[in-house]
Amino acid sequence: MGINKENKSEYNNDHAHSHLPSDPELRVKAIETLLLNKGLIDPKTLDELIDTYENRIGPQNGAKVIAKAWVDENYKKRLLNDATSAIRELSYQGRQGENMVVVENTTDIHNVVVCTLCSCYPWPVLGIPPTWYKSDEYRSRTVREPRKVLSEFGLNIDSKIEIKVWDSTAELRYLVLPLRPDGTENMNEEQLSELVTRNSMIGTGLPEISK
Amino acid sequence: MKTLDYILPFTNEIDDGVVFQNPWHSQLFAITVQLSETGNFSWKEFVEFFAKSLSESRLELNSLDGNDDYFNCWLIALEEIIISKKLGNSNILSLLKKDWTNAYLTTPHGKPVKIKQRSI
Repeated sequence: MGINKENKSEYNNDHAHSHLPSDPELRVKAIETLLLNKGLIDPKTLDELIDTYENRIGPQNGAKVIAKAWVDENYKKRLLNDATSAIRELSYQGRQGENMVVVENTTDIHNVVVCTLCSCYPWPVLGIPPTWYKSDEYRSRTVREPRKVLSEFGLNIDSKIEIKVWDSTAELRYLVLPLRPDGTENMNEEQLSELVTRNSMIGTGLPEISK
Repeated sequence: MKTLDYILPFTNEIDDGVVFQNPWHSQLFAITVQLSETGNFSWKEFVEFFAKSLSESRLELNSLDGNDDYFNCWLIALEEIIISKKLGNSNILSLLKKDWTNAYLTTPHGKPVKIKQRSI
């Protein structure tokens, strides 16, 4: 980051004072000080929020939803009919998961999810979006040339298969139900959930049978 | 869960599965979520500010890589919604930033960096 480097060269000639943080870091500190003084934020809650999304909520939640849908036909029907309620059955709910829609991959259709507006993403089942999901490249090109973007993820979709792009919003978030891989008939739900990658639930990957 | 660690050609970066690349990203995220959940603004309102900030930055920078530049846009959106909702103003935010800058430049290395209490 340019600002950081400039600060370093300008101020690090002697080490008498503390390292000066970058411009955005200082602005975040200013916001934090303002809101703490006004009693609008609580440092403990901030720490808990960060810990939750760094360590506890992530694609492992979504993987359990997908694995259950693969082994339980009734659950799958509920999931496709009312995803928010079906996901809540596994106790995954809350912020940015209030209105969920699950789209099913078939032998004829491959689904892929994007947010063209910013980076709307189903936090309860996938956690915080990866950097590439937030990039302009992904956000703009996925709608325009999905097949090419997927190929850049190493995912070459047969030209006979239709690719459907779903644009998540602040009010509606999509999750892809990938096809259950062949040769997994003897696996139980837990083993199956290990095959489900984050990208397979966004549509930029497939379940990984070799895992 | 194993994360994918191949290089994505279109972003030319390693997707290492790290949730937040910098501590200020996570701090910014948590502050915004908490402010929204305590009723200062709805998430939909924040997204409107954020989308505007992203689109303005895109015109300026041509393309955002989804890392620092993405969170820079988030930061602008949070500053703007704080001002719009009258939780603070740009003057006090600038003063507090200046306080922190001075504190870092005058606090001896290794000592805790603090600023004087300011009436807000």
